[in-house]
Parts: sequence; structure tokens; C-alpha cells
Amino acid sequence: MAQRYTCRICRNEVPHLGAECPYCRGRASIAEGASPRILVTVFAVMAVIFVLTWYYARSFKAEGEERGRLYFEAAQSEMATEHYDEAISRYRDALLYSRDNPTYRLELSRALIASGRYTETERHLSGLRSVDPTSGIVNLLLARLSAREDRIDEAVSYYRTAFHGRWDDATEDARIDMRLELVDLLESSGRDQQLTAELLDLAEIAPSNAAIRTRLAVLLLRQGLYDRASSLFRSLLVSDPRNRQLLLGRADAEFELGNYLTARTHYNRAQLARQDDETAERAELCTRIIALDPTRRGITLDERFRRSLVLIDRAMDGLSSCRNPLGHSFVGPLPVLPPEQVDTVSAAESVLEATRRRASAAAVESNIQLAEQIWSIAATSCEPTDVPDVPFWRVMAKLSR
Amino acid sequence: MRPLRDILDKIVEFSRVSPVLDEPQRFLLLSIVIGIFSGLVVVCFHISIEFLNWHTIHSLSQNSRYLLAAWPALGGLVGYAVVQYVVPTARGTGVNYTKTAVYASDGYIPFRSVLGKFATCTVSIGTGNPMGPEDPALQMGAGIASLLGRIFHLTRDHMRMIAPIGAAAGIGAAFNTPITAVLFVMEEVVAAWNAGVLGSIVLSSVSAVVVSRWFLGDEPLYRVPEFELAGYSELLVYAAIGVAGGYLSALFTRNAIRLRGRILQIPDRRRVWLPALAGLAVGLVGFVVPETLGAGYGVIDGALHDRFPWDMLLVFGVVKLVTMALCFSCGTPGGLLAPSLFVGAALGGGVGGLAHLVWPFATSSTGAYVLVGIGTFFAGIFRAPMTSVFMVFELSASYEIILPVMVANTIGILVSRRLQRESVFQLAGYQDGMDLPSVDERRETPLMQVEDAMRRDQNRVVSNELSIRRALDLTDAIGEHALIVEIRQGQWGWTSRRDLERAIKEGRGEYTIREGLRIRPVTRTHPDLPIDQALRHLAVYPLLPVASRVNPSVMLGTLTLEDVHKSYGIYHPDHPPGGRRARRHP
Repeated sequence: MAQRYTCRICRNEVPHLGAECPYCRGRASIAEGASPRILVTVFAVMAVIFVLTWYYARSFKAEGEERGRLYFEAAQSEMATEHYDEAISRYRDALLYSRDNPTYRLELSRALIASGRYTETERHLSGLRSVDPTSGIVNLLLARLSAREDRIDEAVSYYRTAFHGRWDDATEDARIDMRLELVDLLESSGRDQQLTAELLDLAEIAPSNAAIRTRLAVLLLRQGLYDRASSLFRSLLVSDPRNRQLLLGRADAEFELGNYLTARTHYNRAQLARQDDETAERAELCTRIIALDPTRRGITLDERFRRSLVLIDRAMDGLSSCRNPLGHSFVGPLPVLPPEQVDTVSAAESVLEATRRRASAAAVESNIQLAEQIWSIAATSCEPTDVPDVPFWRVMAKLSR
Repeated sequence: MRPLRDILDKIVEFSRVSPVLDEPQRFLLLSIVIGIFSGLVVVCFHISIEFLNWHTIHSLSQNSRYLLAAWPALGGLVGYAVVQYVVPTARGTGVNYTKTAVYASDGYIPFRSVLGKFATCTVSIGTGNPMGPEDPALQMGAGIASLLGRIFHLTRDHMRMIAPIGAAAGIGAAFNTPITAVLFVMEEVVAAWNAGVLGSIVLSSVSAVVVSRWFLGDEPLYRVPEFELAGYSELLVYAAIGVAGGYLSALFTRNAIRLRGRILQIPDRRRVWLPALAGLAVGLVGFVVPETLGAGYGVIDGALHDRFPWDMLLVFGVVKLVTMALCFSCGTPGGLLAPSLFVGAALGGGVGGLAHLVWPFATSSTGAYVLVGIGTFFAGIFRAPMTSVFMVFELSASYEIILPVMVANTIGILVSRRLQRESVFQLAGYQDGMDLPSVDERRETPLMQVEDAMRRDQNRVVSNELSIRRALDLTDAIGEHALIVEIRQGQWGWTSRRDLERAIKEGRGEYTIREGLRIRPVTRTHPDLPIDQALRHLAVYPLLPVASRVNPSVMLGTLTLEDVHKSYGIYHPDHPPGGRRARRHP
């Protein structure tokens, strides 16, 4: 026999449960149809289910975390023994139970990097970064990946975020190491302007670690920031005066700054630490430059005058041995020089040929100017010579500064 | 208890006398309650599946690994047996079941089907069968809504609307995507864009998702990496994914339904073993390709993160396609949504990976193709274009993805529809003896509008300065029983032939209409309104003036019941088809 249903409002028979009653037309509104007892019961049931679900979810999370932890520990053990594939598998298992655990995902990324799966690593790290954009380690790893794929701008951006980002355990030195990584990247990719800016910024921070400061000083020197490099080497030499690398660095910086006397001193001190032909040559070069410099303090006026004449002579030598771009020698009729340059060359020849020479400060000054003019003619009109007169060029460069 | 009951009685009494909330507002509140209940149940469902999965497929015990092949078989057998012998109402797809509730049983879904779905799908999916929890969650939500609707004695109209509201809550909580849930229910369950129910569906979906996130966390199902379009030429690759997705979905639908049809012919007693056999096959394959076991969210996540090479993804896709078709046909409890996403993801990743090798222009990462692929197979199987696009958009939260997804999904649907006209749910419904409406079906039957039926001349319109006798002559000439009378510019009334005859009989034949007749008011209609609305007016007035929307004082034509009949091809006895041809709607 078929089951019979009745309307809950008027108790008349209805075709099936939930159908509209043909007698009262089911016109009762929600509130009218719901007695207080029903309302209370519905909300009580909701509360009970809520509590049960909460308890169930808590158990679920707890078990998930426990399982995740077990797999994570297994993965760490595999990583320690450099079994990267097994470690990756275990990290993935751990993530299966704790999907939102950033540590597991980060460690998985490290394992993936170790096993050379860079594309997948980047996806995981990007996901971690979207959750925590300021994470230092995530940005650092992303920077290294970008650098590896020659996406330099991206890498620079990640490095900068990593440096300024949040680190749980990074020391100041670790942050500076990151910047030095960035510096290396900029240097290798030939981004000189960014590199200079980065180095100057680093120099401002004045790191305390001697090794880092040494590296920074070397980088400053390599980048042509001689003044900063010299200053950093000098400060480093205070605590370690016999360090050959520091002595050579300081010497090179001073050499480039035109302080040949200081440079020679440091080259010689470096030689005391360990003999080296190259260093000896640099010291000798310094000596030759010092011997040619007419502006050096402590020499007599006559000596100054003599050196100024030597400079003119060496400048004329340079001009006579140079060839113009057309392949013709200047010496002789000088067909390609403009008239004012021809006059300068003639004046220099007159000074050199003069039989009566009188040393005076004005004459020294005039000679130096003349030497500079001829040097500048040679520098602008001649092709570079194969064997440059380094001491002369160094002195002239210093004088022109 | 007595004082508490008194207080509640007074509250209810107060709400009757001076209702703070009107009926629609109360309905919206009920939608939130439905959302919360559905969310709670779906959270428990999700946890139960995971728990079972951990203790079977992902057991920490090494010995349990040898049971890998046995678990899906056992799950399939138990799940199907429970459906067959304990809760037959939990059989079939949740979408079709909910649709039946909307269109055939006044929103009635027995609550035991909720319990049945919960238990059987937990067992089935939790033991590694390649089915998804979304479709069962949808049915559970609808069942809970139906129960609450009955508890609160909703009217029949409200009861019909209640099932989709619960369905949206269920799928929203299961998939953790409220917008997708709303669109899926509108496209698949309601099968129409019904503005009346949209607000309630949104509310229930959102409240269910809030509950789900409260307990399970904010983490989406997949962590979608940042996406970027490498170049517009790459759209061709996405189009290729669309073609492949459309073709595969049609292939799946055709073969799975064909197999299901044959299996349904097998006697029940023997059929009960088939899910076990399908599960055994799944388990054996799972030994070699364990990634294809279960719903496969983790694998999609891995594919999005470029974990798998393209050839491996293609293998995953093919294996999953076969096992999913097998389980679906055999009646293994569970839904098709998650496995279809898996197949789509694998297909997208496979085609994308292939593009990396042969495509001469710039290409995106494999993850981007996986993401786009997710929607194509889904769109092809379920024929839910809006859902497929917004699902990927909601998962990725990237505007850049929209264009490739739209290209791939549109092509996928077109190819799939070309090869296989009906969706998998429709065909499964036919096999189960149901002919349920679909969005496609409704889209292909456009509504008739007033402009399709109205007469565009002014023959039925007279000035109120016309004599009554001449007006009667006019009705004779045009063969009408009533006329529209223009009282002044933009204001019309109507008069009938009987009124005119009576006036002449009373000696007012030479009077103007204004002087000799009481002109009756008439309501106007507009060309864009549906015929249904005009018919409601034609029940009161014999003819209607059709006024312009832009300038309502301008009459564009008139409409009578006869005009409506003609537009539908129904001929009046006085005007047989041999005469003036009625206009038919294309």
C-alpha cells in the first residue's frame, strides 16, 4: 500500500511529501510555518553540527600535521645524505598533509634546486612569494634562479627585496653577502652604473666583518672607485698591517689616484711579505713616474725645470713616433695638422733647441703647458702606439687632472 | 523551558503583526542558513574522504601499500552495494537528481539521499576511485536545502527554488569557489538565468564557502602560479588545446554513455560487482601511475608547478580518462567534475609541452597551458561555458588568463557540440528515464515577443472625433470586434462593436465617439515585452496599443488575441490558412 502524506499545516492529504497542499494552498509564510520549537531545534542542530565539525576538523588538522612532520623529518634525513630525489618525494608527501606549510614548501624548493629542477622550483617559490612577498629567503632563491636564467632585472629586484626583506635568522653579514652576490651579478652582466651605485651603498653600510670589507674594497677598486677603495684598504691595514692583499690593494688604489709615492711604499711593503716580479715592476714603475714628475714636492727649481723639458721632449717623441689615421707621418711638412697645432709643435721645438735656458717657475709652468698641449695633440690625432711610454702618460694624466 | 517558549512565542507573534522582514527577505535569510548547514556537512564530507584516503591509499604502514589495488575495488563494491540495497535515492549524478527536484518533484529531495551520498562517496573516493566530491556535495547541499524547506513549510514556488540554492552551497563549499558554484548551478541545474533565485544562490554559496574556509583554511584547491601570455601568436596553441579538449570530451561522453547504457542492461545482481572490477582496474593501474588515483587535486597542483614533463602528463590524462569513464559507467559513486579537471589539466600540459618543442614563437610555461586546459575538457563535457571560464579565472585571479581561456573553452565547446550534441548529464538523464531541460535547449527556443505578433498598421485606430456610425462601418470593413480610440496624443482607450451598435440603436449614430460613447481605458504594451505578458493584458482588453519605448505617445501598432494566435501558427476559424498568411516565428 502506497504511503500517504498529510499537510503539516491543515493536515489534509497531499500527493507527496513537500508538495503544495491543494486545500490550504501552502500559503503559510516561512515564519508562520515555523513554530518557535522548530526554530530553536534548527539552530540547536546547527550549533551541534558546528561543534562536531570543529572537533572533526581539529582532529583532521592534527593528524595531518603529524603525518606531515614525519614525512618532513624523513625528507630532512634524505637531504642530509644528499639523496635529493627521495627527499623531494618525502617533502611532497609532507605537503600532501600540510599543504599550507611554507617551511615544507621552502625545503622542497631547496631540494629541487639541489637536484637541478629549476622550473618547478620557481613555481613553488613564486607561490610562496605571493603569500609572503617580504620573505628574505624566498626572494633570495628566486633571485638566484632569475640570475641563472639571465633575467637580470628580475634578479636585481628579487635581491633588493631579499636584502630588505624579513629574515628569521640572517645576520648583518649574511645580508651583505647577498648584496655582494648582487654585485657579482651586476659585474658579470656589465651593468656598471647599477654596480657603482650598489658598491657605494655597500660602502656606506661599513660592514664590520674584515673578509667582507676586503672583498668590498677589491670590488670598489675593480670598479674604479679608487678613493673609496683606498680608504677601505687603509682602515683594514690598521688592524692587519702586514696583509699582502691589503697592501697591494691600497698600493693599486693609490697608484690609480696618482699618489705614486704612497703606492710605491705599499708595493715595497707587499714585497717584504712575499717577493713577486709583478709587484716589483709596479714599484719600479712608480719610481720612474716619481722621477719624471715635475710637480713633486721637495725637488729644486732646476730639477723641476729639467723635468719639464724632459716632458716636452717625451711628448715630441710621442708625436714623432705616432702615425695619423691616414698612415702618414706628422713629422716633416706636417700636412694634416691645423695651423695652431703646427705653431705649438714649432714652439716646443724652439724650447728644446734653445741653447740658453733659465730655470724659473714661469718657465716650468710654460713648459708643462706646452708638454700638455703636444700630449693632447698626440692623444687626439694619433693611433695608440704599441709600446706606450707609461711613466710619461701617467705623469701627463696626473698633470691634466 | 516555559519562560523561554513564551519569549519565542512573543517574538513570532510580533513578527506576524509587525514583520521586520518581508517574505523575500526571510527567504534570503533561509538561504544563509542553508549555506551554513551545507558548508558544515561538506567540510565533514571532505575530511572523511581525506581521512579514509590517508588510511588506505596513503597509509603510513608499508604493508598497506600492497593493498593499493584492492582499496578502490573494495570502495567501489561497498559504495555501489550501499546505493543499490540501502539508499537507492543516492544513485546517479547529483546534477540530474537536483534538476529532477526542481522540475519534477517540487524541490523534494529525501534526506536519506544526503546521508547515502555522504557515506557511499566517502568510501568510493576515499579508497582511490578516480571520482570527484563536487557533484555529491552539490546533491547533499540540495538535499539539506530541501529538508530545511520542508521544515519551514515553504510554498511550492519556494520549494522549487530551494534545491538550486542548496546545490550552490554544496558545490561552493566543495570547490572553494563561490562564483563558479553560482554559475555552475545556474547553467547546469536551473538551466536558465533566473534573476529571482540568483540572490539566494549567491548568499548560500558565499556562506557555505565562508564556513568551509573557516574550517579548512583559505588555501585554494590549487596554488596557481603567476601567469603571463608570451605572445598573441601563442593563442594558436591555446586554440589547439581547445580542439583537443573538445574532441576528447566528445569522445569521452559518447563512449562512457554507450558503455553505461550496456551496463544498465545487465541484471542488478551481477551489476553490483562491476564497480569492484572497475576499482580493481583502477588499483592495478595505480601501481604504475599512482597519480591517477583519487580526485587528483595534488597532481593538478603539481602540473601547475611544472612538476611533470609533458609526455607524462599525456599519459596521466589518457589513463584518467579511461578509468574515469570505466567508473562512471559502472556506477561507482562520485562525481565527474574533479576528474574532468584532471584530464583537462593533463591534456593542456601535454599539448603545451609539445608546443614548447615544435612551436617557433614564444611560449608560456607548461603551468599556463595546464591552467587553460583545466577549463576546456570541463566545458566540453558539461557544456557550461560561463562556469568553465570563471572557474579558471577564480582559481588564478589573473586577468591575463581570460583571453586564452575564452579562446580554448569556446573552441572546446564548439568542437564537442559538433561531435556530440548533448552533454553527459543530459545523456545520463535519458538513460535514467528523465528528459530534463538544459541551457542549450532553452537557448534554442527563444521567447516570442510582442513585436513578433503585433500588426504594424493603424487600421484598428480611430480618432474620438469620428462619428459612431462611421466607426461601426470601419469595424465591418476590417472585420474587427473592437477599436482603439485615440483620445488625445499618446492617450488611448477602446470601444467595442457592441457599444457602437447600441449607441446607433439609441439614436446617437451621428454623434462623435467622444460625445456619444464612454470610452474605456486600455493599457499599453511595448514591442520588446514577451507575449506572455501581453496575454495577461489581453485577458482583460480585446486589443492593445503597442507604444514605442523611446516615445510612448507614438503608437507602433496594435495587438489582439488573434494576432498572437497567428504568430504561433494557430488559425482562427474566420481566417483559414488559405487567406492572409500568419507570420511564423523562425
